[in-house]
Amino acid sequence: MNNCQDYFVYMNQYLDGELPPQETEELLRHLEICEGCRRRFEALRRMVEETRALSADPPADLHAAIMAGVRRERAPRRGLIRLGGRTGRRALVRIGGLAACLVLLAALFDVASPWLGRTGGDDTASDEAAAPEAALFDAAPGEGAEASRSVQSYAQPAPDGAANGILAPESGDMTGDAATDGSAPGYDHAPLAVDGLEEAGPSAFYVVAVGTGDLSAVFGGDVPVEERTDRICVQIENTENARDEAEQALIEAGFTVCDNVEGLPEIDENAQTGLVIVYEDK
Amino acid sequence: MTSREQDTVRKARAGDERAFEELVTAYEKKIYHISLRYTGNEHDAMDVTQEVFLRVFRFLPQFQEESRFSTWLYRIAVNASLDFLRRRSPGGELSLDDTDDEGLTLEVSDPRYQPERELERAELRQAVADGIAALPPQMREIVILRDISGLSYDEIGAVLGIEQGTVKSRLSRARSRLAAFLSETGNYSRKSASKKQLEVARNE
Repeated sequence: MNNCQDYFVYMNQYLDGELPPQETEELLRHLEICEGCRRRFEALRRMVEETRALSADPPADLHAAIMAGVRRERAPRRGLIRLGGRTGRRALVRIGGLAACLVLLAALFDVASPWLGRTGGDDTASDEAAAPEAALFDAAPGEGAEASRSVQSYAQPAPDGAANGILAPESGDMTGDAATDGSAPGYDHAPLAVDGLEEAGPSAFYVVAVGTGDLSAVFGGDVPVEERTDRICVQIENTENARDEAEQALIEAGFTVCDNVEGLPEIDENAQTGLVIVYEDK
Repeated sequence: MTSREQDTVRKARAGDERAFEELVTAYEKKIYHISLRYTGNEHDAMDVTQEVFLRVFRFLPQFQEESRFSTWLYRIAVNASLDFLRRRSPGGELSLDDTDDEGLTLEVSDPRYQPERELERAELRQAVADGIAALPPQMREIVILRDISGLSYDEIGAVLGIEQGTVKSRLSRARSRLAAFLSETGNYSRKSASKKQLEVARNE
């Protein structure tokens, strides 16, 4: 050890209590004979002392703000799926749970239909108002027994003319929070029973969507499509806003996110993943 | 980690909200202070602190006690702060020249320190805070972890994932840079330390 630069490193270690005894002796001996280093040492010591004396009193509401955020994170997600949410970091996508996806197609189709006008941000509500529900899918009632049965059984009690193909609210306003409210005019759907999802294991949330679009652009390249049906299930990691981001990504890709899906399995907010169920509108 | 804290961490990991809140209470001030030194303002520090504890809440189930809880927590704090700085200045601030190759500046002179002159001392302290904020991020964080958080070199190495030798040299360079900042801004005078002052230092 023979230059002052090396001794400066020693000084730092010394002030941090990290200089071994032998080197400490060496440093102190050097300080005895080197005025430049003595000056530096004293300056460094004062500076470090002042740095360590820095303090910061957090705002009085910090604790409450932290805990409020944590509780929001912890709060059970409701089965009701909302549209919107802010766009942000794309959720890390994991694929799986295909076998467990047994949502009744027609039931979903019926629930989803009022939202057609909201895909891709286009307000095409007036066009959709005239479209029969069957136009959502090429599969006409009767083509799949399960599907047609569900359509009919669900269409029966649907009030407000939904079953008659009158899908658009009179206001025509299909955007914003009001449109996501199942109680908005024209959206008073009878409860929809969805089952068969329990086998997927606990999910932190469920997102149900229909439509046609490039799913690989939404969730990455390897989204598997269930061979015998047009359902696709994607498990996405349960991060903050993952659900909102998935919904937003689906909407941006031209899918319709369904609201008011009832009968979804219990939600476990601590689950590692949420489940996205997409019905392709071929 | 004390066994009591370990116990609290395990309870929190199992979903005990009260235990989690205990951890928040124990660390929120430190994390806020770290965030404040990183971000340079209270509003952002508050945001980053909240983000840190959200991440802790979210990732606690994955904490395997391979390190101390505090080390793990500080690592999250460092990452959240860096993420914030990246968002605030994409491609900018973090790419500043702050490599470890940089030479030491030995232009360190005395701080103008006299205990009876509190005003000057307050000024010096403010200058130190400003100087930390002006450091390149890598240097800033090592000063924060050592002098604000009080971590040992071992712990700093664990938090930042760097070798002891790097901790040592980076810290020296960071303080050298900080001292240079203070000199440039006129917060150091040129008065030499006396041998008597050295004796005092030696005996402390």
